[in-house]
Amino acid sequence: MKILIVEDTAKLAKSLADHFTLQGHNADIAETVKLAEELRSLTHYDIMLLDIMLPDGDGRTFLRSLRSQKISLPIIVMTARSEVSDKVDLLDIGADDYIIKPFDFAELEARCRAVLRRHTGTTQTQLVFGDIALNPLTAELQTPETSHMLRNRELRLLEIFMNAPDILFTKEQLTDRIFNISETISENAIEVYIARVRKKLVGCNVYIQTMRGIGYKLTQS
Amino acid sequence: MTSPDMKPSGMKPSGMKSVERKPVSLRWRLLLPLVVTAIVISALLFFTMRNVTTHAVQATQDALLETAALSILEQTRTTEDDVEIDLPYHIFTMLGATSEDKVYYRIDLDGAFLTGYEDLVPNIMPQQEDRPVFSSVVFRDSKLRQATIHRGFVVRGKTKFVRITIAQTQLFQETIIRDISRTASIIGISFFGFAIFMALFVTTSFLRPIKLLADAVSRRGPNDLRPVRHPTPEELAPLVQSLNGFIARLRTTLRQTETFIAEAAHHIRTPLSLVKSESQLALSKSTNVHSREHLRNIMQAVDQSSRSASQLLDHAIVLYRAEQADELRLDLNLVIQNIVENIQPVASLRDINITSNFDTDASIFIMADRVLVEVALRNMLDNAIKYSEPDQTIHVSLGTSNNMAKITVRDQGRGIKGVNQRGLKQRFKRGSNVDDVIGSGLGLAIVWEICTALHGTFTLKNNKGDGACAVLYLPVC
Repeated sequence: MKILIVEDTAKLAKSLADHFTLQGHNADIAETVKLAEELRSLTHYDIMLLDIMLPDGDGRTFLRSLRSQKISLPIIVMTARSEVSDKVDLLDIGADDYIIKPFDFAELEARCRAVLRRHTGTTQTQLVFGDIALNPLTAELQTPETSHMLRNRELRLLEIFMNAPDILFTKEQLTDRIFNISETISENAIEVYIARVRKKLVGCNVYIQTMRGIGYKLTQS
Repeated sequence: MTSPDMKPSGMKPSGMKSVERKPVSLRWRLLLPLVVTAIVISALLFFTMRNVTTHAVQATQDALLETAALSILEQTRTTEDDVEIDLPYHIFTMLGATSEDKVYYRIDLDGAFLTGYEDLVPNIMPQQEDRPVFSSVVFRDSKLRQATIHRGFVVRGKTKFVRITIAQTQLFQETIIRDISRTASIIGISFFGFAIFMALFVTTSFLRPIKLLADAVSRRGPNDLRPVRHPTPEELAPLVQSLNGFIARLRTTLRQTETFIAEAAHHIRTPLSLVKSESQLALSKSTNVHSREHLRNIMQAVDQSSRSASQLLDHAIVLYRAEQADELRLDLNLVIQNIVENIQPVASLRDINITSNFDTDASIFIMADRVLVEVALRNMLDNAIKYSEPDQTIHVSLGTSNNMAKITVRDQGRGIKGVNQRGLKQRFKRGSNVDDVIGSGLGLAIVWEICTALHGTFTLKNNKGDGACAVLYLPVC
């Protein structure tokens, strides 16, 4: 997924970009409307994350001008302003969704996924490993025998593994990415989800391997 | 010593009431002089008519009495040694012909009673001959008009004075005056009525431009802060001018308030955003157990403060917009669907399902500020998500009950403990069973304030099974 982050707070933009890069996506940063317009015209992006208050203009004006040019690039507005009153405007002028700062990466990802699902339907590229295929947008897991609809956490867990097959993830790493930081969770909560995903992979040549005392990895038999 | 204008602070300002007397309305200021004028003119009209008629009728009667008295004198002749009077009875017939009035007479010769009614007292002797003296007297319990006339006759070189006194009751005169008075009353009252009608008409037409201006201003929506361009008479121009000046100042103040809230949100949330994202990145890269624990603590604190900041801002928005009352006709189905759709990703992150039950064919409309309704719904749903466990379901439904739209958010979470219905209204009050969940204790207080602003009611209670059930009732339109 190629993402354009239009955000003038350089550090925030960079940490967002770092996060998406870690997830295996490509992210470009534009700190001004002018640069965003240039980048957008030079290359194709799957989604744009747009801040409202930018040094050389209002994000809403930029959004309106994009829509008036019939550019259907999915756009999620990142707003720090007065919550819902902005939403009315934002959706009316063509934003696909909005997210209020500060936000969890997981929520941002979930919103990106929902917007992309609405835009591209099921045609988005699938993640394939061994004999299984995962469509992150529709949360559909294809196995040789059948197909499963995954719950959100199952999907995110499998997505982490399929983006980096044969890479070892510690329990903590997985817990941080699956659970909200504000939630009180038991140490073994991740095991519940590992077990659920394993159940769905029965009969495939792909399985989640436990590295005792270290963590888990997705591997092919 | 206390001077009259330096009352002790504890003393009741009894004099204040008279100072704060309600000013007399413009309508009364105009109407009162016009009505008083109408009353005075009507009374003058009545009394003038009555007076003129009384004088005219009396003059007529006086003329008749004079004619009668002179006729008697004409019938008086001198003989060789005396005066002979031949009473002309047709005169009495003439006097009595017009009405039932009685006629009395008395004839004196040289001051001695000669004939007629002896108890009829003559008027004082007129100064000139043949010039009658008139008076009004009471005779035998009747009011009479009386004329006395005299003439001297020379008999054997000596002048003998004949004095004729003739009087008539005033029944006919009274009848005429009564008739005329009635007519005068009718004319007076009619004039009064007409004058009042005209006064009302003039007052209404005078006040009409003010009323039209007031209507034009009060018809405006609460956010319509355009200058008043309503055509008004030049006398009202200073009022319109100061009204427009006030609107301009109000617009500036409101814009500043809105900008302040937005700026405050921006300045609070942007740095928090950075702290949160940096912490998340650091957490995902860190392998040190202690560092990870610290980072988790930081992120939880950021969550707590961003949540509080959001809700304090929500609270400011609610207070600000409740004053504005920017009411629109809202399709509740649509509003709820939009909110549910927007909050769905947050719920699904925790594997919480949101199901909804709407009758999409039958829309339910309310008159309300859309932002307020959305903030209330968002807080209700946010609360339900916060206290639900993974794989539980939150059910949102919309219906009507007793002419109120009923929005229900039912969850399967831990329910509420230690907060009664009154506690919901209190800011920063939280249930006794939610210490492990981040919250500010403002969410439901905000819902409660919105519901009060929208003239609705809000209840939160535990379900019979698990979880809590929040119900918001709003009046339908």
